[in-house]
Amino acid sequence: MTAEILLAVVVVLVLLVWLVLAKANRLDLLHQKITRTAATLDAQLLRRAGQAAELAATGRLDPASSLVLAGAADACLTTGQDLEIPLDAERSLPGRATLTEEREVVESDLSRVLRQALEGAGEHGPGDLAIVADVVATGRRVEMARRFHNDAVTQTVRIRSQAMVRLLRLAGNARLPRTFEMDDTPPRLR
Amino acid sequence: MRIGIVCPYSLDAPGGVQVHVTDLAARLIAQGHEVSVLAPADEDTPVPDFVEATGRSIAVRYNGSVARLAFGPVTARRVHGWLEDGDFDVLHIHEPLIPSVGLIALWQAEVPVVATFHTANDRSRAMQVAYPMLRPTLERISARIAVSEEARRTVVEHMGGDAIVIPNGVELDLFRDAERRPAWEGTPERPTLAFLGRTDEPRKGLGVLLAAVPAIVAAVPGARILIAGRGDLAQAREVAARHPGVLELLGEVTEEDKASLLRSVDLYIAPQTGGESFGIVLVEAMAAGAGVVASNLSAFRRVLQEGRAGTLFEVGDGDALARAVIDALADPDRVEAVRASASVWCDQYGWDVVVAQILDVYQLAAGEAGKVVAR
Repeated sequence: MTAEILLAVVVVLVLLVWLVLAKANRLDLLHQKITRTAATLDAQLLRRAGQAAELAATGRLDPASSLVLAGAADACLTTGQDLEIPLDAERSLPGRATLTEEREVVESDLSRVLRQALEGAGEHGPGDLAIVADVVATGRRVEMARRFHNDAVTQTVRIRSQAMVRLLRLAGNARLPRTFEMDDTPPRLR
Repeated sequence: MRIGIVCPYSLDAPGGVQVHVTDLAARLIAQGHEVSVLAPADEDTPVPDFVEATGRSIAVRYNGSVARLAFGPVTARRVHGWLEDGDFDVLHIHEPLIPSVGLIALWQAEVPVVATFHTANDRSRAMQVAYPMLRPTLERISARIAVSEEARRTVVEHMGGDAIVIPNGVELDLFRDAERRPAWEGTPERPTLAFLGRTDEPRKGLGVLLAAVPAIVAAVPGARILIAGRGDLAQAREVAARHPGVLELLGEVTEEDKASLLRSVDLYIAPQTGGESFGIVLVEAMAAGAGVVASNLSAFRRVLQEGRAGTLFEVGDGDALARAVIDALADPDRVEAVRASASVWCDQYGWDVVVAQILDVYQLAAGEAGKVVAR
């Protein structure tokens, strides 16, 4: 009789441990996923800023637009880039090491400046420049990359809010990831 | 003359350049010139009828501050339309280095251009990158005006070449004709001193004045010190508690009150410790007839004619300020003589003189550049 109870307890315990391990593993995979989506978004943002700087230097925009655009692109290329990011930062700061709140501000500024500098150009505007098409296309990729990243963050946050995950500290030292919020509406050229 | 004036900053927000531009335009119109002002402003912002609003300005971080600027193809088209319709003899662009309607107008201009530089600032990174591209545009400027020596130095250092210094105009009559307030007027036993400016901005120098209070009170027990301006007053209250009946804290005052205050008091104290490129308030005090006691910043020394139009003391030195005030109060005849000469001296900062100088520049620019304008 006692042996049967003991067996039942062991089975339940093993099941519990397995559940916990599965949850921890899932969380780890999600954190890895966030690291990847953050890297993708970071790359697309930098690419867009580089193309914006290139567009500002073409001399095809009016000088005021060129100057503001050059400034906004420069802010995006330099903000957060001088940080010494430790190699294991991504383990404790999933997606947060490069995608800082400061960057949300400068990237949103760049989106607004791009719209003001490009929208309403009409027939003979700079709309036919290859670099304009490039920067708009990259802007759309930024939109997508940001959505994928924020989806991953939302999933992770949901799991991390579960009582068992919090109680057993399954997330370890990793800080809670945050979504990257910015104005990413691309310019309407036509 | 047909004159087009361009202001880069949006009229939606208050600011020195905006005020200067609209005042200048109103005075040129009063003299019979045809003037149109182009500036960013929202449709629902009330503007004088000589202003053409471009709309579509956005708040942009530029050179360390946020300003509402207008640029882009839609704005460029409106600037083009304004230039075509205006058919100006001369175009007067304010702050041409600010990326807004002014720079766009300069880029499109086919008439002689006069440019006024208002601020002294460092070249931004964006500017360094874009400067080679801007150079041909900036070369279209026929005549450069700087509103202060500091602004002129910036032009010389950053762009090469030189600029004529013409200060912003001051509404002298507003201060000459201001109403006196008995409550603020001094008597031989109870002379009044005034301080104007943000009370918690260290560069405005209230701390220097407060440090001078004990010595002033010891020599002139009846002195009253009127402090006007917004900001934290904790420090002033502390001093006021130690010397009852000396400090009077007026808080923030209107332009009208400010004129009345300067018109009523015996001495205006300017203890600023830096950050002043011109010192308009000193001119206003001179016009109102207050004796001026000011720190010897280079801008103030110029405005006070190296001390002939007012008393100067060592920057930031409360004891020197106290001595200057005590000497001035002890010798009313000398103060009266200085005041009389200051009242004449400050004429050159009045709008009448300033407008005449600016018109001279217009005529020169239109005369010499009218023939050839590099495109």
